[in-house]
This record gives sequence, structure tokens and C-alpha cells, in this order.
Amino acid sequence: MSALLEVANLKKYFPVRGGLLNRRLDDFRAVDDVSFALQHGKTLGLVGESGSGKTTIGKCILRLLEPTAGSIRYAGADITHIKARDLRRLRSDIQMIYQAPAASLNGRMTVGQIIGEPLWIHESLKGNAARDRVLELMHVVGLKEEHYYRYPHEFSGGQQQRIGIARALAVQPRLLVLDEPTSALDVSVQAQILNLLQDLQDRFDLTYLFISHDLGVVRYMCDEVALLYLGKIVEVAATDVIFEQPKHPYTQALISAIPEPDPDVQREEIILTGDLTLATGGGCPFAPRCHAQKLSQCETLPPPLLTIEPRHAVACHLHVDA
Amino acid sequence: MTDLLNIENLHLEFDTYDGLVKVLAGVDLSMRRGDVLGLVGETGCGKSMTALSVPRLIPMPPGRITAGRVRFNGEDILNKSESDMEAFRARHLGMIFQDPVTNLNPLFTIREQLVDAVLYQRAGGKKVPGRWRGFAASARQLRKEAHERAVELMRLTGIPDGDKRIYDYPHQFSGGMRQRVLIAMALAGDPDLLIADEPTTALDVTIQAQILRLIRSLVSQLGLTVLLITHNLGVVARSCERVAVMYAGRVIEEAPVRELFRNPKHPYTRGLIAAVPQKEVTRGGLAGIPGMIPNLIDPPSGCRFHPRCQHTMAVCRQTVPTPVPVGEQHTTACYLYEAEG
Ligand SMILES: Nc1ncnc2c1ncn2[C@@H]1O[C@H](COP(=O)(O)OP(=O)(O)OP(=O)(O)O)[C@@H](O)[C@H]1O
Ligand SMILES: Nc1ncnc2c1ncn2[C@@H]1O[C@H](COP(=O)(O)OP(=O)(O)OP(=O)(O)O)[C@@H](O)[C@H]1O
Ligand code: SF4
Ligand code: SF4
Ligand SMILES: [Mg+2]
Ligand SMILES: [Mg+2]
Repeated sequence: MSALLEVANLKKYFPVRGGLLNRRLDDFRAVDDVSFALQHGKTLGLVGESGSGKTTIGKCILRLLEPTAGSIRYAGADITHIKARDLRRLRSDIQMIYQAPAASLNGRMTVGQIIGEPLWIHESLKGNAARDRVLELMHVVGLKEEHYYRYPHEFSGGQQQRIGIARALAVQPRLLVLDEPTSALDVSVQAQILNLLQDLQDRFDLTYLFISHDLGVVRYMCDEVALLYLGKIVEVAATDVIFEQPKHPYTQALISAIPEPDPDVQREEIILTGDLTLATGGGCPFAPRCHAQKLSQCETLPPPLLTIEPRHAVACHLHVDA
Repeated sequence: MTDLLNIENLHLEFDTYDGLVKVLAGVDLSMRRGDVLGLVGETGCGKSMTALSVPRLIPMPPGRITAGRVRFNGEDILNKSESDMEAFRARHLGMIFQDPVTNLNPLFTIREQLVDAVLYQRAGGKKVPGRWRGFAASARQLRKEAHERAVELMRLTGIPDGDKRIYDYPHQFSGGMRQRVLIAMALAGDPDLLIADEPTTALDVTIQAQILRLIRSLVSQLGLTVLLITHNLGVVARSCERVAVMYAGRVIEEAPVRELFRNPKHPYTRGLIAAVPQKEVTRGGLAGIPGMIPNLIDPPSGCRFHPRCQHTMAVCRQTVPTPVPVGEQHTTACYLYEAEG
């Protein structure tokens, strides 16, 4: 089994500027040495709190952001420093779906134009051939033919997301980076979109990188889950392992905080203190909030991400033996 | 025992460019002292408007209440004068609004805002301290007391180092801490009823868990009565004792929390619960609700859920179902149950 996408030691630093001359004072490490592999046809969830670096990873993969370091391999080829003329090819293979459906659609274009535009850009397809493809795509995502000449603002959030998905599918991508695709939607509509995404995956043999902070949604959608904390992966494993036997104290706290819609779920709730703040002193980034029995090296040494079982890696000093 | 809050058959319309929007169409809701009631439903179903009818903060115009009553401690609120209303809000209500612009002012320190809130409540809704005793010193004394109360409120809501951090500006607080400040402000006047509109929606899940725990502890410490508005069924399951489910401007089901999740009756409630990806649901097993929420300018006749319901009968299209008892303290407005008698 070979990976469709392999991210190795990815770093993305943003400059922190200040002072009179607006000089670069420091680096903000939005993504700090992230590695993962995504198998063809599978869904990997990227989970983490706001600001943990999820979107930045997605944008680096699409090359909307230039990585600071590390490598990204797609279908065996290194695409980290790919040239502009090869980017178009890449961009039809990898597509991104965004959180706010309204903001990602051009309000001055009709639904037909929005979905048809990538066909024109990538395949120079126009006229009846393009129209037929657009109508077929609309059908695939559950839009009606009469929606063709309407504008995005005339649609509900769920339908706008369908338009965005149809547009992404137009260029026959193999990998979709889904950045919180349902977090702006109501649950009944979210369920429709999640089911649509699963159908499309089966039908078109798609591979998903699924970004979300909703663990319930991730549990439903993903084969594997990677948890991010302040730009680092703290744990990665198969979905059922993450939910049934989480090892990292942060993962344990997150799982215990899922508000299950079931008053009979009795769980030991781990309430973390504080919020996402940078640890000073170069120890474990999670140390200021960690509820586990900490070790002395927690405050001094950053824990490396170690494989503790096949396909299960954890970055915590409490879990070092294989 | 009389109800603390009683909303009866409330109808609210908005006059808009596109036409008359029938936002609330006969909302019934009541709360007793000590209740923690969750109000749930999807975007636009009227949760915020129902809640805002209590402090009477619905913008009118364009809004207009066309029928119904809102009573607090047996007293009719809708007929009060505006100045009585000010005093009423200050004395009885604490509010956390969904709309962020009505929340913390970035230009003032936490102290200024929290002390103001305390003074405002003490003065019964007037800006000037009302219990003026004839000495300039007493005004200073009042502010000093208000400052102490503000620090006490910060302690109560779990903000560490309140005596120092009170001099900070809102941007120096994290999202979770700001939410605690808002709760502290809402509690300034020992309200009889706390209305919290989506208090955790913008927060990360670990912070959400902290805030929910705070609300639960305030309920047990202070015996607070809470109306908690959310679209998240998980939040309700964790924090509330009773739930009212709204759909398109009406309360369609109401029950104690456990009963609602174990034994949902209304087809919409069932659909809503089935749409949440829960533990047991495996790939392909999630059920959505077909269709989408109705346009409230031209809402469906009869039961407003009928175009999306899988059990629609002729009567559903004709007349509005009224709530009927279907269990212990459990009511629902659906003809499936009236038919059973
Ligand atoms: N262009 C930029 N310049 C400077 N900092 C940035 C830039 N883009 C992102 N960041 C910072 O990088 C961090 C990670 O941002 P990112 O958007 O990847 O987070 P996220 O996990 O997607 O969060 P959210 O859940 O809020 O979407 C944040 O602290 C953010 O402020
Ligand atoms: N000023 C206004 N003019 C016209 N319509 C309005 C106005 N304010 C609210 N509405 C409408 O009233 C309905 C109910 O709004 P409300 O804010 O109570 O919904 P909600 O249930 O709180 O939704 P959300 O979950 O999105 O907060 C919505 O359909 C909304 O569009
Ligand atoms: S390394 Fe130490 S501080 Fe970090 S998560 Fe593990 S136990 Fe907690
Ligand atoms: S009243 Fe009729 S349409 Fe409405 S929920 Fe019940 S069965 Fe369905
Ligand atoms: Mg993001
Ligand atoms: Mg609202």
C-alpha cells in the first residue's frame, strides 16, 4: 500500500514583526515539524483547537503557502518546490473545500458559471459540452437543473456547500482537502453533506484530508486521526484507537470533552485549565495544561513523536516504550 | 407554585422589504425557579427572538408582537412602560447575548465595565447611583463597594487574580476568559433568571467544557434559573434538566432531558437526534432530515414541518397541532399523538 500524500517534517513559520522598522523579530511556528501519510482512498482527520495550524497545513499542501521546510510528496513525486507551470496540473488533482460556503463563491457568477469555470480553465471546455458536464456535476451533488442560472446568495448554506463541492469535483481531483466543510451548517444539513461526501468518495475513489475541530464528525468520517497542538502532531492512530484508547493526555481530554447528545453517557470529564498558550522553556508544549502525572523532563525536553504500536504514534514522555 | 416565566402563544412578525416574516407563531414556554431549560433548534427557528421577548429587546419596528403574553412572576411584561422595564431588567434578568457587538467594549477596562454593570443593577436600571444619601462621599463608597463586588464576581466565575486582572482590557483576555467576564456581568445583580444565548458556540471544545462546568456550578451554588440557548444537542445533554425544541417559530416538543433523548416523539426531534454523528453510528449510517428549513414569509400551512415529515397526513397541512401530553412532563405538538388519544 503506497501513500497518495506524504508530508514529512513540514514547517511553516510566519514572521513576527515589530519595532519601528517593522523588522522580523521572531518566527511564529504555525506548523512545526509535521509528518503524516495519507493512503489512497482513505480519510485522514486533522483535529485541533483554533490556531493549531490545520488550515496552514492544508494550504501548504495546495501550495497556496510556501512551506518553510520539509517535503510534500504527492503520488510519489516531490511537489514541495514544484514550478508554476506544473502547479495547474497539481491544482486539478488536489482541491480544497472551505468552511464558509458563501465567502468562497463568487457572488457575481451564476451557479452554472461557478461550476463551469474550472472546466474552462483546465480543459478549455465550453458550450454545450461544458453545460452538460456542469449539469451532471450538479446532479451528482444533489442540485437541481433549475438552479443553473441562480446566484449563490439565493441558496441556503448547505446548498452553497454543494455548489462548492461540485466546483471542486469539476476537474476530477483525486485528493480533497476539506477545511471544516460543515462547521457553518446546522446538524440536519451537516448530515446531508457528510453523507454526500462519503458517497462521492466511494463513487470517484477520492482521498480526503478532513480538517475539523468537531470530534463527533471526525469519528464518523475518518479512517485515521492526527491531533495537532500548537503546530505539532501529538498523536496519530486509527480512528477507533484514538477514540477508545487515546494515549496522549491532550487527546484524552479532548475525547472526554465531546458533548455527546446522550445524557446517560457517564464519563470522567477531564477539564483542562487555561487555553492554547505557548509554553516557555522548551519542554512539552502541552505541559502548562497537562493533567497527567508529569515527569521532570516534561518541562525541559520536547517529547518526540514515537511509534508505540504499529500505526499509532504519540508525543508524550509517558509513552516511550514500543 | 406559580411559574417564574410564562410565555404564552407569542406571535412575532418582522416587516421586511420582501414581506412580512412570521418569526414566532404561537410560542409557549414556561420556567419555574431553579429550572435549567435548554432551548434548541436550528438557525432561524426563533430561539433568540423568544429569549429577547423577556427583556423586551426585540427591535420594534421592524418587529411587532401580534398576539400572546409574556409573564414574569405572574406580572405581564408586555404592558410595562419603558422605564419600568429598565428597572425590571436590572432587578430580575441577567443576559449573555449571542450578538458579539453587544458584548464587551474593547475601549474600556474590565473594571469599568464590570463596576458599571454592578452600579447599574444596584440603581435599578438607572445610570446614576439611585441610593444617593446626600454625601459626595457616599458615591465614592458605592463605587468602592461595586469594585469589591466586581472582584468577587470574577472569583465566582473562575477568573484567576481578579483583583489585578480587573484593570486589563478585553483583548488581554482569552476567548474563554472573556466569556467568564460576560457571565460575571450578567450575574452582577443577582438575577432571578439568567438568559445565555449560545454561550459556548464560538469556543473550542476544551474551553466549552470549562464554561459548561462553570454554569453547572453556578446553578448548584446560587440556585440560578437558566435559559440556555444552543443549537448543540450535546451541550443540552450535558447542562440542562429540561429541553424545549423549536422548529420554525414554535416549540414542538418539551421534556426532561433524559426523556427527550431516550424517547423523542416529534418527527423533527427524532430527525435532529439522528443527524448527530454519535458513537454507534457507522459509515453511511447517519440520517439527515430531507429538505430544508422553510421560508417564514410564506410558511407551510398547518404543521410547519409537514413538507419535510415522513408521516404527513391530510390534517397536518390544514391545522396547527397543539401540544399534547405524551409522557411524564413530556409534551409534543404533532398529530401522530393526538390520533392515539
Ligand atoms: N498569514 C499569516 N501570518 C501570520 N500568522 C498566521 C498566518 N496564517 C495563520 N497564522 C497563524 O498561524 C496559526 C495557525 O493558523 P491556522 O489558520 O492554520 O489555524 P487553524 O488550526 O486552521 O485554526 P482554526 O480552527 O481557527 O481555523 C494561528 O495562530 C494563526 O494566527
Ligand atoms: N430585524 C429582523 N428583521 C427581519 N427578520 C428578522 C430580524 N431579526 C430576526 N429575524 C428573523 O427571525 C427569525 C428568527 O431569528 P432568531 O434570531 O430568533 O433565530 P435563532 O433561532 O436564534 O437562530 P440562530 O441559531 O441562527 O441564532 C430568523 O428567520 C431571522 O431571519
Ligand atoms: S510529555 Fe509530559 S507534559 Fe507533555 S503531555 Fe506528556 S505528560 Fe503531559
Ligand atoms: S403534525 Fe403531521 S406533519 Fe407535523 S410532525 Fe406530526 S405527523 Fe409530521
Ligand atoms: Mg482553520
Ligand atoms: Mg440566535
